[in-house]
Amino acid sequence: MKNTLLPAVDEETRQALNVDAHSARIAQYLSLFILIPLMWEASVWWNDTPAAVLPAPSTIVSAFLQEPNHYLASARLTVTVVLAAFVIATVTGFIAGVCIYYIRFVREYVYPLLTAVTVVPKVAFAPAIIIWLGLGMSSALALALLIAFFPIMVNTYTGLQSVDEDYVDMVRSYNDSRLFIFRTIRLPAAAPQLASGLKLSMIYSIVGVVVAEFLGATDGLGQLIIAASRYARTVEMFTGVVIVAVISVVLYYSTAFVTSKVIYWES
Amino acid sequence: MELHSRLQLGDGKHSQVVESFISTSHRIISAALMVILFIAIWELVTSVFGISQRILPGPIDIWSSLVSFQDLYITAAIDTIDSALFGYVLGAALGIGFAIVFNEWDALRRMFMPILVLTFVVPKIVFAPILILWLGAGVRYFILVPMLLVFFPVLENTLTGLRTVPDGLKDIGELYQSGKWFNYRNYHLPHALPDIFAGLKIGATQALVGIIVAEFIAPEQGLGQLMIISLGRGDTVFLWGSIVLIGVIGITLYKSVELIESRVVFWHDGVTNR
Repeated sequence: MKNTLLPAVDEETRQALNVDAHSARIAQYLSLFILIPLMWEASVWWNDTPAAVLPAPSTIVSAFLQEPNHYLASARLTVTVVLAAFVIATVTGFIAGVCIYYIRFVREYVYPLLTAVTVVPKVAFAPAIIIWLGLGMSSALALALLIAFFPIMVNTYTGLQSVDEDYVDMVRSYNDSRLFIFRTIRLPAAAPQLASGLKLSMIYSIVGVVVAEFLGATDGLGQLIIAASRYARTVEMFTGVVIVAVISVVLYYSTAFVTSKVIYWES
Repeated sequence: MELHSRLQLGDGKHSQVVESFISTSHRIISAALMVILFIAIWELVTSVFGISQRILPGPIDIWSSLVSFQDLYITAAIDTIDSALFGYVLGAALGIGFAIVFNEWDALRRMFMPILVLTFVVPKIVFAPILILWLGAGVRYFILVPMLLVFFPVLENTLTGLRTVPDGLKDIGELYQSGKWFNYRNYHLPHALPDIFAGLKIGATQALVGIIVAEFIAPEQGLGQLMIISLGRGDTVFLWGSIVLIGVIGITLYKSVELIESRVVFWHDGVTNR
């Protein structure tokens, strides 16, 4: 899901404002964060929409401020599980991708099976995982791991494949060790692909944890949203959804920021 | 027909076609063998180690459940496929349509793009409970959730394809002063097709994810309902029967889109990894 993140502000506006492209972009997004809630607020007031259908942003914010600990405790739990799943998926997915690249048997016989699995919706395994691990955070972790693992594995492998073999030949003339070639040539060449895998699987971890919490959990944001919707506590439900949205934006852009700093040569 | 004309292109091409045919059949055979091996190991593990059916039923148990309760499975599967396909087609059409609109009216794109970029990042599935609230757990809800999950990747990829049309192609349109829609049909859309299909393939898996989760949280229809009921009763065989069916549906849907792609975008190797 590569995308042209934060599309640039157009050139004329930028020059008219006499700011550099980066701060112009940030300004555009900040104004958006102010403008959209304002329009939402205005439309709710204008149409006199009942809070049971669509609560205004101010209602959501005040609901959050009334009992911040209620939301923050759930959010903390969800984020912890998301990050744990992300880290484990990154390590295992990376190792799997390297194995697929270097071990011929795995590449030719196991990898085709795994690519077939990538097409199957992994969320379907959620009830089976709940039978195995119970209604808890371990189920959420397992489902998130299952979903987040594949993009890292596939992107590590295809990234390693994308290496220009001429460079490998050149380095081989200095040092023939496989590890050296991996470290100096293959890994840096695979890094951009790996980075997009990381961003994707961060989002997938969130999907996994939230869906598992939807299905059955004693805590966490997904459970908060589902419980609120079951008892028609609409404001609480919307607050939960907004928090999930904010968390995904923050986690995604943090991942994008960190990877772009590590792979400084790509931007 | 197409293979036939390619065979006549000369020796080099000829051997290439034959080689790729051989390697394809080799791939298919080895994949089939691996699947059989996998199923055999699964069966062996469950029967040798005496794993209870509640934890993990063996392939034979699952198969006999699929056969003896086929009416139940088929009714559920048809509901699921129905909603998923409806949502898929709607989401794809809207995604392509909006991409064309955004590409035509740049001001509109500039206005909406920042919102869309943020929406790409948020897992759309969290909006499902809101849709239940607004629409009730009925037909509209079961179509809208997969639609929502298909719409964004298709829009994003189509827009990428349309916005990367090389200036040369645009110049040809200018030069001949052919109409806007003529240009769209003949230059812009063909150029964007590989990207559109990349989005459609992501959408194919996402549609199924959407309908399954939608049925999980509002168990009113389909395989999701069947799974939630069997989860409540601890009836694991039904669970795995449904998982197998969902897997088959997922692979079939994806492969169908891929097949259409290879027919429509025959000149291109496909943009799977970029």
